[in-house]
Amino acid sequence: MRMDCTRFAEHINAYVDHAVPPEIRAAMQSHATSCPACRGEIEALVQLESVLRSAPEAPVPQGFAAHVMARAATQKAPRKLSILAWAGLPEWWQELPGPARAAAAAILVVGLALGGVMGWDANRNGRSPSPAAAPPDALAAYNLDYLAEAPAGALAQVVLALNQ
Amino acid sequence: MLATARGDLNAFEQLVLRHQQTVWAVAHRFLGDSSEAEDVAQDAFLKILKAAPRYRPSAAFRTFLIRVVSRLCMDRARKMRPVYTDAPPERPDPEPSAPQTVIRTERDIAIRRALEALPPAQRMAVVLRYYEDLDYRAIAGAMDTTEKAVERLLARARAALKGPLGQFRADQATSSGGFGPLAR
Repeated sequence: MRMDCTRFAEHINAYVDHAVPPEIRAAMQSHATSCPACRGEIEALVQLESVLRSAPEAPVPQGFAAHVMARAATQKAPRKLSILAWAGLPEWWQELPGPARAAAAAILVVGLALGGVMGWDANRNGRSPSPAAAPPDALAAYNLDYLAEAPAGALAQVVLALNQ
Repeated sequence: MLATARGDLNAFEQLVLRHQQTVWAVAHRFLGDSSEAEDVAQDAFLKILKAAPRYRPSAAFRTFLIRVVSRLCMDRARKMRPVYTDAPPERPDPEPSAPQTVIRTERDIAIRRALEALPPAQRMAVVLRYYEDLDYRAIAGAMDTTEKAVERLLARARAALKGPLGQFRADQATSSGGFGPLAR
């Protein structure tokens, strides 16, 4: 594989990180042996790495693990995933406390059962909807006939009489 | 981790003791401030505890751990301003002579300042590459990016670090083997 300074520069970072394919690595090594500029670039990165790695590591603070455990004790204990969780129920449901979930489920079951009983009862008796719900027949109920003369004593008759 | 998922806090404590150095080191190298780093490191373990029931051992646990702490560090960095410290290293310097001790302290401060001057993504790539010895693939996983993006982050970081750390590179040149260490 042909290697020049431009291609060398393109791969130099991956080279120092051992992330180039073997054939490119070999070509770069071969090029660097005869190119002082590219060799200098590699050396600069190697030296930079040495400087960075020389920075000492600070020790873990005293009592770190104890502090973590103290905070963990106040955090809710992780719950095993239930079959409901595996069924893909949302996380908010999984996060509810057990009694709350039981109460919600009980209310749902009772509500469904009640609705079922009421529906069954209505169908069994064959009852139609309440007559109060049906609009009244105004003509029959109030003896209204808008084509006839106004009944005696009615307000409309008074108005007509006044206008004659 | 599986025992922790079952609610075994003793197992969780063993996990903390085994991995606290790694988590602390990443947080402290990245944030540069001990109290912020301790806060983030603690949060990382608590996050792992909370996620334990959903953990699936599809990758090395250390990789998962580093992913959690690095993401918390990046979130914290967005809220923090850069912190520059003149405090000497917390560990006693083993160098015998006084002048070498002073140089090492200056170098450590220069390294700290140079890292904190980097944008967070470049700084995290440097921390994971140089101090945790992660390869491109692991860094990409920890930072939720691609391997090519990691290569670019490291390239830019190195270009930025060459200037501030140049004087110390000359010191390393007298002891390093030049091109030799790369032929591995």
